[in-house]
Amino acid sequence: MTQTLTTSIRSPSLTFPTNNRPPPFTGKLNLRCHSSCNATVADPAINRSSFYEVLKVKRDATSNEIKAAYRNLAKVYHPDCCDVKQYDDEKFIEIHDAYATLFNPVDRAMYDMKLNMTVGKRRVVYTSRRWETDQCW
Amino acid sequence: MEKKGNDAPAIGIDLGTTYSCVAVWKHDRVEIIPNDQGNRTTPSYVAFVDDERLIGDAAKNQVAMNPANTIFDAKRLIGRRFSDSNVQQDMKLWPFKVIRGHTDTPKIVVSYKGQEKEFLAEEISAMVLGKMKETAEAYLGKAVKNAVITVPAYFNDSQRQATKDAGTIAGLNVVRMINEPTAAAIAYGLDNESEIVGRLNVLVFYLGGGTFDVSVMTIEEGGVYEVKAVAGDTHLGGEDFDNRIVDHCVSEFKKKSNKDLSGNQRAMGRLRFACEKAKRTLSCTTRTSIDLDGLHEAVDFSLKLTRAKFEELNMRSFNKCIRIVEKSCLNDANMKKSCVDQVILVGGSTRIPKVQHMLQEFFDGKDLCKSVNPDEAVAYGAAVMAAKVSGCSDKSVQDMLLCDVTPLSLGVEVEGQVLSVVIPRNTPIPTSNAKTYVTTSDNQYAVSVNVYQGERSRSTDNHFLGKFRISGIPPALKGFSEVMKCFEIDADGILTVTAVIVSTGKMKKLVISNESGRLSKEEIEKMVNDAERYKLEDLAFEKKAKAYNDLDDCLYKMKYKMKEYNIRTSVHPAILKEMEKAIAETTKWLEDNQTASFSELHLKKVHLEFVCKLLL
Repeated sequence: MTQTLTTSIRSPSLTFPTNNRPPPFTGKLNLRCHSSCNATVADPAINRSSFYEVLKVKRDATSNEIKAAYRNLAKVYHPDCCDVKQYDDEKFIEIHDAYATLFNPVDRAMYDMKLNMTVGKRRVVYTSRRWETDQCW
Repeated sequence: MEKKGNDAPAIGIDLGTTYSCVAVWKHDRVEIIPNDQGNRTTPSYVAFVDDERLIGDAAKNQVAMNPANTIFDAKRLIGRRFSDSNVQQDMKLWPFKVIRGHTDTPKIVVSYKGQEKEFLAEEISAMVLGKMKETAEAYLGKAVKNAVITVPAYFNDSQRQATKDAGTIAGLNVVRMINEPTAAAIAYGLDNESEIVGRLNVLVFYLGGGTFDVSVMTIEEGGVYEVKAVAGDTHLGGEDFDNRIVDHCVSEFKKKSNKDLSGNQRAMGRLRFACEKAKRTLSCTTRTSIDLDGLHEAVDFSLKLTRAKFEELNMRSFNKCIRIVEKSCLNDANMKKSCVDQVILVGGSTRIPKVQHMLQEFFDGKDLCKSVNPDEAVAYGAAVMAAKVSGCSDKSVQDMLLCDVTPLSLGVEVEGQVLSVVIPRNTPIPTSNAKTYVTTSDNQYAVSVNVYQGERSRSTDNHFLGKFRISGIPPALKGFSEVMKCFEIDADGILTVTAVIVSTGKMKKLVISNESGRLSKEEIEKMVNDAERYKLEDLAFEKKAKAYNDLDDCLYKMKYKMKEYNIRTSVHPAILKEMEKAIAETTKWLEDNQTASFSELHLKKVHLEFVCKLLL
């Protein structure tokens, strides 16, 4: 059992086990202002194929085409389908995220912009890190 | 099934609070499997009588005689803590005893074979699941291994895990768990396949025996089911309506006879049974009466109950249902009520006229869909899902695509007891998401990750799922070391958490330990063995009962034969006398030894048959 102790002094709240000595540095974590936009997996989408590639559609595909492509892929990769036991959920999640982004016009515009920037600047290393990230330390 | 010739197909089980139902995909359609009594739903009751265990109808029928050893409502205990306010409330109404086990898990105490025995809610649910499994096996003539089990959409992770464990204890391989309203929608979608053109916005209103769920989803042509939002209350259902009537009766009884019957478990059991019946009656008539002779201290009880009174007693619950539909579900789905094309009613309690009326009024007089069977739709959907997961070749099953959502937000506790949400509610599953957090003190070497599920902003107000520690963070100033927490929800809606120290790549997975009420692998194994043992004991009891009946039958036949004329004339009087003596002795022995073992009974029968072989 651990107990949360909030002290009125300026120290951060600590969690430590009640039955044995408190380990000195078991502090809680602070949420950092990480980019929150569509944070699928923390690994920024640098070495991943683009959402268009995931769905196997052209860059100028209509939303109906995107939906149809998603449906077709989902029917193959969804964990409910018996003959895809070799894939884990990961593949379907990737497909769904791609669809969710591209099907929403606003998200798609943002994503296109980001994609263009990445291509234009030949893979900037810190695509998902912004200046605020460093400021709030 | 189609794929593996000899194996029994996967079955679909609706494990309900009050009733359970089992179905299977057979001959390109769903069959609801009737139990040994011929009923299509089985009460989720388990009873312990002297040296016998009863499950289902048999258990419910004797509830008035044996209230302390008849267990029901296990679904209201499963995956909950003993200190949970709902559990504490329910305990006051249950005639059986619930105690606090280690690590705050509730345990049910019964006396079985003269001993006090403690059971977890998982074990009781496993017994019900075992009964459903047997029902299916009897129907299919094959051993059943795989099953899809349904859970209320609003169940949290602990409750889902515990239900899955119950399946394992029952000897089932739970291939998938789906949400009850979703299963009902599948039943609706498959039934009306030809009528669904384009896109249909559907609201499933599920009011069952113990839980309430609402799901807003779209069904598209070709069998694509996409859940937009779910909401509900895992502690609102027919049982609560019964309890309201019971309370009313207790106070009326007090008023009339100035006696408090709430301590009399037997009377309470009888009263509850009568109240449930009255509630059902009031769905088709406007008045009924509850009459119980000699209810408490030889005082009779009689009460006229009108539908209006029943509605008044339960108005708060009904209002709550409508509020959840409006506030939580439609808002979350971002849908106007005028956009809902079809409102599907599922669950026995949706038969209550007031509920239907209020819902219809809320949807501006829209016709409600009552075409699906409110008791069986969920098992129906589960059976379809079972067929799909196990690779059924039917086209409409194969083309079906189901996208469900997670009902509650999941997150970790950060400094100041704030819940930082990693996966928001109504995110389509399966899903994964990660967030990065930083340390809060200099040279911090370890963090404890507390995982919560719920919608409140203060972490401790939410449901605590588990915690783990990850240590070995390289020394650094505060705010410099990063820990990434990755949440994954699989298609069953079950969560896995991993934490990674970004700089070293050290990883740790959350194993929700015993401490937080989860069963360990060893414990489950032990329970599986226990369940097997109970089953063997049941079989032994049946065998003994059969031997008893056989001997009784044999005696009866012998006695009858002895009276026959040709026997009396053809057999030597000395032998006749010998035979009469043996019959008389055995009859007496059987009367005196009601609890004789199987071998004794069998031996007596062999002996009797030997002595009286001339009669055979």
